[in-house]
Amino acid sequence: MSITRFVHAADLHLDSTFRGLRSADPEVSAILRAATFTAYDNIIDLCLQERVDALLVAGDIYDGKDRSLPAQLHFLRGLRRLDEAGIRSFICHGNHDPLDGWEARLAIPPGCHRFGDDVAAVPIDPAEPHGAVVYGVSFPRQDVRENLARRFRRDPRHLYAIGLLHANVGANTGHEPYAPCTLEDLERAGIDYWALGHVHTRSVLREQDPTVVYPGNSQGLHRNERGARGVYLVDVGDDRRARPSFHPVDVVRWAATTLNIAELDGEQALLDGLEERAAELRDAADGRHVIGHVRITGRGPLHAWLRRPDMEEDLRAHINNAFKGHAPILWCAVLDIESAPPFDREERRQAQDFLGDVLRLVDEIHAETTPPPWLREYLKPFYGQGRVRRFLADDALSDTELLRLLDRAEERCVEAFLADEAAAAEVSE
Amino acid sequence: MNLLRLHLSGFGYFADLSLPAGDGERIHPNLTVIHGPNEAGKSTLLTFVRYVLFGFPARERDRRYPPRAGGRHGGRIELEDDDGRRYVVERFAGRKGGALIVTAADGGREDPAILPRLLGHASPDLFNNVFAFDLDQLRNVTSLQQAGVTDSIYSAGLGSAGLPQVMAHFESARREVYRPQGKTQPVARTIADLQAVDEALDELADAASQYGGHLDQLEQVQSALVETDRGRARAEKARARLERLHQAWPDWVALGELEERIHAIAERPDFPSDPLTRLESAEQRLAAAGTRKEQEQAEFARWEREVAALHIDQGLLDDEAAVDALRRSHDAFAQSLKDLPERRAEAETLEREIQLALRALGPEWEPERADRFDTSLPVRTELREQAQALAASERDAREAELRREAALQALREAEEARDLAAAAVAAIPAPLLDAEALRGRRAVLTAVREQLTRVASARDLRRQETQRLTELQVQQPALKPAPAWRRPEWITAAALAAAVALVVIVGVLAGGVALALGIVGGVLLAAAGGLIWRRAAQSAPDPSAWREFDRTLAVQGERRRDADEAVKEQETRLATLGAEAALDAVESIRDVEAAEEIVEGMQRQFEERRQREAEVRTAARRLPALRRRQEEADHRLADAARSQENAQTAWTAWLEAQGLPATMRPDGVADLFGRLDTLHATQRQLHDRRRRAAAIEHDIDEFATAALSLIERRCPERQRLAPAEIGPAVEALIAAFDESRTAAQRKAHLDQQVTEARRRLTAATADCAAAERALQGLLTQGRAEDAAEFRKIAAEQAHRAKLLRRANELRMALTQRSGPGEALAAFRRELAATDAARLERERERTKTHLVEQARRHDDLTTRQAQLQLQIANLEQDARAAELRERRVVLQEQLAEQAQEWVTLTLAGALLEQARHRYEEDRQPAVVHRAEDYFAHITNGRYPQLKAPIEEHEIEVMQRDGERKPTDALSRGTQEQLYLALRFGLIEEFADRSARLPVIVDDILVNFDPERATRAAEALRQLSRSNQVIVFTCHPRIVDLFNEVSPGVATIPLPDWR
Repeated sequence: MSITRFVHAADLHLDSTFRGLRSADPEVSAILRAATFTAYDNIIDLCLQERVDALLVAGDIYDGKDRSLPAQLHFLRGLRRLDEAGIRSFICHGNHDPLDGWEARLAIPPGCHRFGDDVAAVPIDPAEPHGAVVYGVSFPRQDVRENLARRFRRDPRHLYAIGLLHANVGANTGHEPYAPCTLEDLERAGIDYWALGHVHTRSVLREQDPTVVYPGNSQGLHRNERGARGVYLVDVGDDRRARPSFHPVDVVRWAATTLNIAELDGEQALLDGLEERAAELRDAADGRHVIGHVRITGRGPLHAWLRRPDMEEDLRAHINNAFKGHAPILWCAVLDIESAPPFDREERRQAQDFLGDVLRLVDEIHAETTPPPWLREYLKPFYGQGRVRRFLADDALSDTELLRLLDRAEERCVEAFLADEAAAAEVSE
Repeated sequence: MNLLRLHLSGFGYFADLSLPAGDGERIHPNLTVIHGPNEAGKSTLLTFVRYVLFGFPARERDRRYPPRAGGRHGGRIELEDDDGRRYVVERFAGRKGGALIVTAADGGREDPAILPRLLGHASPDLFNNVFAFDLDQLRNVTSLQQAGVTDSIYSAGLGSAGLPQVMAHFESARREVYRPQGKTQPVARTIADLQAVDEALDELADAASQYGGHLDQLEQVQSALVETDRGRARAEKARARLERLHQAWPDWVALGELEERIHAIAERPDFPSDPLTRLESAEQRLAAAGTRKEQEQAEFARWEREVAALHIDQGLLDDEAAVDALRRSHDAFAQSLKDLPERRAEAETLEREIQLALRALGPEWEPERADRFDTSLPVRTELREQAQALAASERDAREAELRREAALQALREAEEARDLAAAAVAAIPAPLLDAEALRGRRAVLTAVREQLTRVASARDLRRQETQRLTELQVQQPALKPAPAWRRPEWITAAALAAAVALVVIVGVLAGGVALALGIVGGVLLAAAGGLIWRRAAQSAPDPSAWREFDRTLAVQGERRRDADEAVKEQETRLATLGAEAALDAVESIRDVEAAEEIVEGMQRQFEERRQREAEVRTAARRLPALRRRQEEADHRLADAARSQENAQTAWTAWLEAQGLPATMRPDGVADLFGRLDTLHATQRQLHDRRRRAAAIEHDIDEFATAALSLIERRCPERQRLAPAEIGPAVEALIAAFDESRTAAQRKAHLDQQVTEARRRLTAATADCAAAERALQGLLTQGRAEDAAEFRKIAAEQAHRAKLLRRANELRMALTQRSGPGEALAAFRRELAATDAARLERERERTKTHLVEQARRHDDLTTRQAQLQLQIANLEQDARAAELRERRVVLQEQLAEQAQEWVTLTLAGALLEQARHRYEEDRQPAVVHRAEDYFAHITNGRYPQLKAPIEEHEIEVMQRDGERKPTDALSRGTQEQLYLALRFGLIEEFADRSARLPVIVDDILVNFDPERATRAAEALRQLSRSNQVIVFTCHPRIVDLFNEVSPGVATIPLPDWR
């Protein structure tokens, strides 16, 4: 016997577009467009199959700014299926789908409860008002900086309390600090299970007293969102202990691989290596479609060949052609050529010449805690332009990215000087 | 680091060359001048040093100085570091610049990475521009723009001559990606695309916000549609009712009228059904049966007539077998009658031919003998053998005769030849000398001829010696020595004494002018004396020569005597040889030639006689053999004659055996055989013809017997027929038989027809009676007297039935419109209660109402479809998804472009910052050092250099403090400035990194002598810190360095040419 059994999902981002794609052919586009919907359908199927008591969705069901009707309609269809099966559903809204955001005027099924802008407590089974109860609150608007967790107060009469909240616990970098709170805040509220949303990488922040869980998003949408994505099926036993088990529901998986050119002895070896790596990605994806991110790294003579125009596109096409027509699909969406010419940097760094000066300068910059301001000064003509910044996915260059590009700039200098030296050795006699 | 020795394995025209050449020698650690004429290979050496230290060019076609004189392309350089450790650096052309081997002094392998350390990590660019350069590089720099010069020289100092180009490349590349106000660069284009996508997405978002309104409107339209549909259904029902009444009204009126007319006609329920058809059928059946009966009667009569007309000869038909036999052999009989005369005529012709052939053979040849005579193959073979034997014996006899005649002829010819040769021998006289004596005489004459030559030579020598002796004797008086006083030294001394005396005398006596004249005269005397002495000294005879001449004369006399003796000796020998050759006297060569002529004549005579004698001997030797041949030929002729005789005897015997005349020759017998063969063939043909004629006669008789027998039986009136008549009679009989047989067959067929016609006539008569009975039965059933009455009753009953059917149809139509049962009753009540005009008014009203309802329904349906489409579009939202995808791709593109721009910008920034640091940290020291060198080279004319930071240019300060930009300097001075700058860089590099050897190739040739000297001093100065190697092809430059640095090390280049 158990007190309750529910599925905890979050960040469905229905009908959201895959980011970081440099191209996709029509077949791939169709699969990607359907991916968030299919992942959601998989959640509904899981609920029906497992005969759970309820589905909990902790915000960011869809992106309000996209005003996607298909997203909202599809979501409701899923809820209706649950309702027809007698499974209840509880939803709260997050920063991407706040209450004041655009929403089609659609009726939610009677078995579904949508939390408003103040914390409410709703029993999973109306027949047992003091059994398992879901507490929840929605974002009234996108930019909520208030610690919403502090509004939660458990009613001691309730047998088991579940908190449904879209929030940023701790200093989770890489995510906007909406509804920020700490583990201590969550602990103080007296809730037994915190069903959180917002952070896209799944994690169990605390096993017990209270159990604090981010299920992550149900479908990876960015090359940084690699690996299996899904939901937690939570079984709360009579001992009032929650036992969450992860169930992947994603349709398409992002996967990354790296090929080092240092050991490769020719162009064919590189092409073969790329195909091998891609095949490994596909084989590791548990039978799902794979969107690959391939990085070519290392120093070697092949770098000269890789630097030819359109090479990145050509290599991507090579991989994609090799796997075309196979199901599940493998699509190399991003291929980064980060290789470098064969060059002993350490040796050259010691030379008392200009290139040595340049290499030492780069090392000095890396040694600083943050890049020197004069470096960013050079970039103002670009990043100072509102017209440009408006369209950049990341409107400011992070320090990490800046240093990565600095290394790339160093490689360009090395290339230019090596070519120059080779020319000098041949011409200036 | 210093270079110690270069070893070129194969490089240009150098092969296996060491420099310096001697074992144990090395390049001087300070200053060395390597000199040689143009094309001696200075540039080759410079390149060699660069390649070995920094690697060969990667591409083979760029590698200069491939080995022209053998050896492997490359070599090794011995060098030492600043601590005196020695290394050998070896490199040959190959991949990646050529494999590098570094060995230490002890022969152990070093890590090749030691070389960059030894070179202070100098780049090839730096080394090529600053440490090892030639006049062209020095000049090229001056031809650049001002800023370019400083850039180049500094960037070379930095280790990269291409820095300005690299920086410019980065700048232009990043401007190609993005410009703040640009419109065509990739970034601008991507942003424009993004803006367009966003605008499209905004439009779609506006449409989406109308979704709720659309749903409300759809709801209203749908409920209005439901209401309209209900009203329309009601109106439709009323309209249908009215329509039914309206349509039923004419039927309703007609039904009333019909019911009245039916009632007026009496009903006859037992009247036959379908009465008129049945009546007509019975009447037609009766008529048809009567007609058929008449036809059958006529047919029967016709068959009977035809049977009666047939004629048949049954007796002839009974003889069918005999008739058929005659029919079969009738054609053969006709042919036999035709063939018999022909065969008889052929037999007669053959008999005549046989008679003629026998007559041609001769009277003794009876037909029987000819028939008996055997010409078979064995007899013919005997004939051929006999003929061949006879012909062979005759041929042998002829040949034997011919051979005998030939042998006789040969014998006669040999005897004649012998006799002719013997006569010729007798005609030639016998020789005086034999062959041996003739050979001896010829040899002696040859010796005489040679001795004559030797006598002539001896006489010539004697004449020459005599002449020379005569010449010497003529010279003898002129060579006698002169007396002492006439010798020139004495004359000269006298002249001098006279001159002195003259001067003294005049001086003592006259003084003044006379003294002067005296002095002049004295001088003249002295001069004359001197002149005489000089000339005499040139021509005066030498006593030793005189003594030598006497000796010569004596010797010549001796040689003349020897020659005389030799002449006598040779003449004596000639006389002896002449006697031996039987010559009386030998005066000249002609005597010898005459004697030789005589000897030659004797020789010719001797040779001819000997040849004739040989001919006689040869002929005599042949004669016995020829006589033997003649005898053999005689024997053979006798044998052949015997053989021929035997053959003739055998032939005669064979002829006798055959019964033929003995005079016949084989060809005659062969001809006879041929004729007899022909005769035999003709006899066989004759026999055959006679046999066939007999057979034909037999056939004719047989046929005639059979035919006459039948004719007698069937036609007794036609007996005794001639053979020619038998054929036509038989033909007539066969024709009569065929006619009777055809008639008999026809009669059998007609009998069948008559029987069948009789059966049909009986049936037709029965049919006729039955039809009559049926017609009567029908009239009785209809209770009619006759057919006319029957027809009248039938017409009345048919009309009544028609009225009844029509009334039923009308009732059915009413039922269909109303429905059966109570509905029909109600419908009839409604019809009974209304009238036509009232019905029409109600219908019009209902129709108008319905049209209005339909129009409203269509409007609502259209609106509903529009709203549903709009809602479906919004719900599917495919366009928005596509646009969002496109936005992501564009954003990714923009991010990539941004990364590219940032990368290029940061690359430029790194170079700029590094350069800035260099200018701040190192450039002042370089300029300061260069300043010293430049001031020295220009002898203090330009004591200072200014290189403001970041201005990228150098200015020179004159002694008076005035500044001059470099382009205001002369070309030579510019070259000196950049030489000085290089020296500054070299010293700066030495301080910071390593002391590298400096190699310059004829860089001083454009400097004036003073500045060249000062530049050479500067190089000497530099050589205190860095090894300096100067290449030159000018001896004056070598001298110059010797002046500024006495005893400087020099190495001449070997002349490979």
